[in-house]
Amino acid sequence: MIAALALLAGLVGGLILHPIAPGWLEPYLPIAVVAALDAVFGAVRARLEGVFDDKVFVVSFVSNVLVAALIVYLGDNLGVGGQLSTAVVVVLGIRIFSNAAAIRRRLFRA
Amino acid sequence: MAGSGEAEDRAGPTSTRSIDRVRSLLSVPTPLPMSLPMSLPTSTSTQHVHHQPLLDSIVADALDPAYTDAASRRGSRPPRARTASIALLLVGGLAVGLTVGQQRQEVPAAQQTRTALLGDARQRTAAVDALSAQVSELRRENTQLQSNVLSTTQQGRAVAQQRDDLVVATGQTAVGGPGLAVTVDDAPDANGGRGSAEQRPDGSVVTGRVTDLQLQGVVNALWAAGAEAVSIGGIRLSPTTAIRTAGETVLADYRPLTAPYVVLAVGDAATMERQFRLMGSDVLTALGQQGSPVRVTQRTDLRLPAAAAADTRAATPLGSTGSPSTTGGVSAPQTKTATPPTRTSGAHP
Repeated sequence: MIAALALLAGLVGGLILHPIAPGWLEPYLPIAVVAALDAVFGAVRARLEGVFDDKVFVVSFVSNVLVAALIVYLGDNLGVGGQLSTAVVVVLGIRIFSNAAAIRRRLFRA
Repeated sequence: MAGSGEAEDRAGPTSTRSIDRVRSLLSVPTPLPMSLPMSLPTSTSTQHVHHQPLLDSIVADALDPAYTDAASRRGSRPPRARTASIALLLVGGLAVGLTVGQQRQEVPAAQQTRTALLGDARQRTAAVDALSAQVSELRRENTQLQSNVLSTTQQGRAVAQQRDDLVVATGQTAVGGPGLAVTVDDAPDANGGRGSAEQRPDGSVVTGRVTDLQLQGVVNALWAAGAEAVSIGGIRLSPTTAIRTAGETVLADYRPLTAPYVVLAVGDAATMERQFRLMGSDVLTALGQQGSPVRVTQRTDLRLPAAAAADTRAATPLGSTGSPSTTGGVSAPQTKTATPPTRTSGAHP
């Protein structure tokens, strides 16, 4: 419950307070957000299936965000930024979809 | 998404071993189908761990197997890193909200600036137009008042006549009639870059750009050819109007001009053209050599605006030389010769 409240608080804070992200961070913010969303969806699904573990969540969140940002940064420097970020977004999108589907099944059947 | 659910439910409990997971990820990737969601092909029960298609493995690992591993290992151990997960969820929500808020802010700000600038520009232009109209109106009033005052005395009438003779040459009134239109343009490749410049034997560098000296030459040639009124770029030239260069721009009467430069001259078109080509032969040759195109056309419908109002710098009072009705009085000789136009020159720095 507290975790969910924290998520909500973060969302509302970001929308209302308009914090300014540092300039060097801005290109990586969208992909980091998608990666964070993937970790969050995975965590929610794990919670619903009763296997949630805080340590796993923390590690998966941080590593997802860092790897996604790293891939985009690498791609920009190699000149294949667009293609690499497309690949990252596709994979993360598939995972988000399947986690969301599982969550939906859990919520409306069980 | 029903098909995908079944596949991952079957794959979930068995793919707990990390080696199997890695092997499944490293299997030969199959091309992704174009549509999402899709129904996945069912794989054989014992082999799917080793040769899972890429899509299957992505979907199978959507719920991180580490969760089930940790759950099976945990038993009664208390969950660790609770505060860290809460903090991270806070950060995650913040990041999402930040990105959304930022996207919504960026576009309107640029739009707002643009709209504000446009509004400002329109406002100032309207103000300038209103002031220009006011200026013309006041000049007309002044001229009328002058005529009224001057017509009361004989000396005044002589002065008025002199003024009328001079008013065209000094550019104090708008002029219309036939004449010549001379259009001078920069050479087509003249961007002012050093690369396109041509080095003269005396060391001077010539680009295809038209200079103020060349424009002065054209204007002087037109005066010499008998023009009664000359304007350049819509700016009427008075005897004290300067054509000069500031930086890369040519200014006439301190107002900037852009290529192509259109010089209009009112007068007898045919004789003017003949005389102009004669008098201006060296400047026309120079322009031709540097590649600047010059076009001379005869026109019958020229309208030249008045020049900016001249400042009054000196004044002498009119003496009272008797009433106009003095008998035997000789009216002042009326000279109708037009005063020779003064040459237009550049201001020397």
